[in-house]
Amino acid sequence: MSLGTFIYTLVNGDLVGTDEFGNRYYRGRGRKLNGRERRWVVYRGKVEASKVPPEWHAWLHHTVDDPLTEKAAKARAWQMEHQPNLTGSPEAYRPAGHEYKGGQRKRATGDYEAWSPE
Amino acid sequence: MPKLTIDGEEIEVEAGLTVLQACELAGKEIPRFCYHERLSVAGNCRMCLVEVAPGPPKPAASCALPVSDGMTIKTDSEMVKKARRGVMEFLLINHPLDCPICDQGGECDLQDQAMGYGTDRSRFLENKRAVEDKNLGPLIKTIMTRCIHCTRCIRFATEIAGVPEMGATGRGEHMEVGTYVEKALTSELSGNMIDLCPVGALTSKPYAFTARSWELKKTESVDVLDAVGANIRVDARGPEVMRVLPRNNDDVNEEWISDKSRFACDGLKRQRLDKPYLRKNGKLQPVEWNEALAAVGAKLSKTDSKKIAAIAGDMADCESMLALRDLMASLGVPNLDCRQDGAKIGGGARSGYLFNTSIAGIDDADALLIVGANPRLEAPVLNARIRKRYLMGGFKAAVIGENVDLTYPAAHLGAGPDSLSRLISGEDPFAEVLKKAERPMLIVGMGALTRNDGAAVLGLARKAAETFGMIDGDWNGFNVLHTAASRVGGLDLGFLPGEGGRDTAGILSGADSGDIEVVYLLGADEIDTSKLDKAFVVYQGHHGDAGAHVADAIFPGAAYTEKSATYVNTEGRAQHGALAVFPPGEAKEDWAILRALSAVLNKVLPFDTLAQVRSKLAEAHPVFAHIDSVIAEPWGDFGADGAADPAPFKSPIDNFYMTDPISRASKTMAECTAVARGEVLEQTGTDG
Amino acid sequence: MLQDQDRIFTNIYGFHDPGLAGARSRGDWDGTRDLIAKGRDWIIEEMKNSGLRGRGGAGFGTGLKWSFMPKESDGRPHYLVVNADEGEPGTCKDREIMRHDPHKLVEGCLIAGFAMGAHAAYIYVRGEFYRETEALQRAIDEAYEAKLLGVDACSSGWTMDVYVHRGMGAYICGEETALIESLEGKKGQPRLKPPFPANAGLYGCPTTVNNVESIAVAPTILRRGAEWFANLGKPNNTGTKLFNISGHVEHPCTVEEEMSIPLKTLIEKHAGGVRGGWDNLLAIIPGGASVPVLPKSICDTVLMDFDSLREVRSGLGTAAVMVMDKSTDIVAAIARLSAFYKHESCGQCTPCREGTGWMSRVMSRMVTGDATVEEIDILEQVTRQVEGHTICALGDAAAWPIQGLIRHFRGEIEDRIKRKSGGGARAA
Repeated sequence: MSLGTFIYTLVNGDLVGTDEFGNRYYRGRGRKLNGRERRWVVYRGKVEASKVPPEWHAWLHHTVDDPLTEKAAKARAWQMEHQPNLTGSPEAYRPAGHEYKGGQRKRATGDYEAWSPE
Repeated sequence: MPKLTIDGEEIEVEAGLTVLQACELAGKEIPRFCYHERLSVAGNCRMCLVEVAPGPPKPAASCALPVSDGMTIKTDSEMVKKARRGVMEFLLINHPLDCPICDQGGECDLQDQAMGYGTDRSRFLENKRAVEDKNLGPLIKTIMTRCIHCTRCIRFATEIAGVPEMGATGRGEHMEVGTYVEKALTSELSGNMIDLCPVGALTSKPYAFTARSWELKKTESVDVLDAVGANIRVDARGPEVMRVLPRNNDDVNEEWISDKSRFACDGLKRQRLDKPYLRKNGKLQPVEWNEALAAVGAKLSKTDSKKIAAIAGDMADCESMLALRDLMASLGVPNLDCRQDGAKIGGGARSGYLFNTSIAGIDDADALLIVGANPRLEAPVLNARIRKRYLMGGFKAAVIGENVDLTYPAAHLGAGPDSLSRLISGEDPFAEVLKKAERPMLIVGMGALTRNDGAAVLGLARKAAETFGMIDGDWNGFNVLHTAASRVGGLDLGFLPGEGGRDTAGILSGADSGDIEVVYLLGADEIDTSKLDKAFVVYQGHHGDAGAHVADAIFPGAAYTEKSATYVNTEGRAQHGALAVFPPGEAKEDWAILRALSAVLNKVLPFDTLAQVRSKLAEAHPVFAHIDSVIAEPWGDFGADGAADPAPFKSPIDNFYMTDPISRASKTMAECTAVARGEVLEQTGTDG
Repeated sequence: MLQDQDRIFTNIYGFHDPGLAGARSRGDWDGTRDLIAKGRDWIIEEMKNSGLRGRGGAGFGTGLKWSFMPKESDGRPHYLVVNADEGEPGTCKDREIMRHDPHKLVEGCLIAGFAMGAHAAYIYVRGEFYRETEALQRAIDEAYEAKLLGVDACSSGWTMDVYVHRGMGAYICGEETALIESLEGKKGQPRLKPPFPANAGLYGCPTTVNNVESIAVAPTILRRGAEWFANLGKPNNTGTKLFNISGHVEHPCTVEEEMSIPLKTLIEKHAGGVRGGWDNLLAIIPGGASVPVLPKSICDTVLMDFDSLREVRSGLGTAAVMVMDKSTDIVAAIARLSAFYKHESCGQCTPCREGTGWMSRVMSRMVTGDATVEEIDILEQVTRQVEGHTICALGDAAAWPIQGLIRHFRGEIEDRIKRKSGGGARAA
């Protein structure tokens, strides 16, 4: 968080809530922007937009008036926990057969049989 | 020249054309199934109906109707449209319409023409006919329910291939196309039936269910599995060659290719050399390119140039042979040879090792003498051309060599060179035929020229050509039939022993005795590799075949589908092949490997790009500047006098399906071999 | 009505000796040498003047056909082929000729062969005609023995050989080009025309294919003169003809009659009339299986010749008159013919191969009424799609009976369909 954001949040921000990852969500106290209130998030740790879980994402983008935290609390068993986008990180998805996964993959039609001595 | 009116447009066409051909000249598309330019007219599909006046008030089959002066033809009248719709409906009522699971889907004449000329629904409420599939061997898959009885396959087998094994049994609805007694087709050209079949009744067995035609990348290239240089189209998906199809070239292969050319492509995926190897402690170990090049470079620069030798194999391209020749020349190596089978040709006039008549020129010949060749196995497409000439009539053929079925009648004059001498002296009655013929031709094959007395036999053949007036003005009836795609190119480039150099036999015996220390094999596998044990062998090639097993260093090269390369066919026609897929693994284009090696040796070859190599080629021999054309060569001196060994000629090809590293690695070709030897299909026959 | 002295086939019932002696007593082989001596052009001109139209079904002028043969041989031999593959359902005229009057045919072969420059005649006999083949072969052997055939046949200086070839029982081999194919030892499938057999027929040589009856009447015509023959019948439909009357008549028979005889007269006079009287007549197929059926209203007045029958959209065909009285299930009868054509289609060209099967299947459903009224129109359209689109005439022959049925008996089919589907046709 930059110093400007810190001061702005301190002066103008009303804390609305905190998600399970520790990101804090604020609502602007004063002037409206383009006819609606200002909403923003202060990330915990690295700034990464995909860290915002869906219940807060909807609120943050003015899709809903109030964050869907209650609904999120009643998540179904099959709903997966929110994960930030891992692309580019060491945890990123790699298919079986990728070098980092050991490079073992099933035969594909384009494969050729290499000659090996003896 | 008859004048016709086609859809209101007047056109003048040559007499003797059919209405269908005239309509094509006028730019009118006539749908057809049974009609094919290169087959006889059957006229049984009735799809090509047009309205012709004067004539009876019913549509006429345009494929069988000769043009006559003053005809008025309508190709888009209501009557014609109705007739086409009707015929299309009839064709489809007993067709399974299983396009989604049909290998012909996407390249199917019936599909296309049903779109263009059919209706969108059927009024047929009865059960459809079902026909049992036939087993035609390992190459052709049949789904006979799809057959529309156009009889193209029957006509191809009877007319072009010359093996009348296909036919129709039963009549009416119960007519079935097949071999009657189930058997594998014995033709070397049977794969062409797959292309001819307008529906999915005959499809490629190895290619079955592997790809759809629209997902393939098509590359126009040249075949190298025999010396005809058939024009092919390589269909590839990703890194994989899925199939090989013929490409039309009236001067070379018309639109046929041999089964080996078509089906050996699965050999391109097996036994591939994909990384450099070096022999360390008696074992070949995979190494990096730099290490391999450095090791070979060090070996070459250490060795006396007289003790270095290079042999080019049967599928070597001209670019790499030029690079190897120039590299060896810069090292001062005289021991070069591109004739790994030891053929006694080259050195003399170019006409002494070419198929001078040209393949298209066979059509003009009226008598043929074959010496020590079996064109049916050595060049099936060329053999089909001879058969085509035979079918035109007024053509007599004779063979000196093995007495085999060539698909056209040929008098057997004897087995060895003495028969040829007898013919020259006029003792054989066929001498009269040749003397009387206006354009006699002679084909001398590798079976005659690879013998120890090859030069003497070549001299005899030359004498025969001169005796029987085969060299007469524009007509040159002297022909050498090669079996290797690289041979003419190698000879043109002078990839031959230099001053005091050794030829293949000399190199091998030298390697055995220790006189030759380093042997560079450019894809040469058809040699006696047991003699190479003592020498340091560098093998540059694409398949782990005989050569790779004795190698001390292996440079993985590119197969013919993996490089843009130049090949010269038996006529002396230079043709460009093209890269369809990239070489596997770390393999590289062959000329580039040699260019890299030259840099290691500090004898940098003067080219960096393919264009530069090709301009060097053009400097080396004018044929490379005239791509896809045949230059008539003046008659010159070649061959030798001397006594020839009376031993009978023997064709170098014993098993048609396995003649080179690619076809030896092919599973399909292995199956064909087994069937040809009678090992497999017998159990499934109906006679057991 | 034909007078007895105008009959050509005087032993059609086999009451007399069919051998050479008997034939000679009936006037065969009389003056054959003189006829030949008058030359080719005279024979062909006389045949043209006689107005004889081919008796095999198509009705093409015999003299005209002979004149298409090249006058001078270009080195290829000429052939005469006699079509004795009599497979048309209801037809049995050639059978009678071969059984009882074979010398007429043999003599005809010599004269016709001479007229077209052929030294060899092949008689292609239907495979089922085993005894007939024997009778014919016997006659040929007799003729050879009497030096009427062979080198210097009839001392005319002309060499003529006659061979008998037995077919294997395919209806399509009665088509002239399919017959030639079969004779050559190939699969009996019609060839494309052009080239016509007169240019390239048997073994690629000029060939004329004629029906047995056409050839057998030729010597008599030449002996008695074209004038005599032309005066019988009507212009363009001259001469006498063998009629085969079968079906629901009192006395089915083969009879030689003048052309253009009224159909009713023919049946009443020679066949003893329709079973149960003329009013019991339902329909008649006038010329073998491949011509459209005629209802009673037309049969009342129609004349039996090529042109009159064509006017009522039928045909003379082989003049095999098939009579059906009111007990006949006419739909089933035509469905049976349809099945016949499905069975006999050679399978070479698409419309016939696929169309005959389709038509036959629909027809078999029509018999039980297991169809819809719209399907009658579809069936009609299918017959139109087959007709005229095929290589040979078998497609037409398969289409015509059905067209005739729909033209004249559509109500019958519709009734059945309505009855089956429980419609109100019962009241009607």
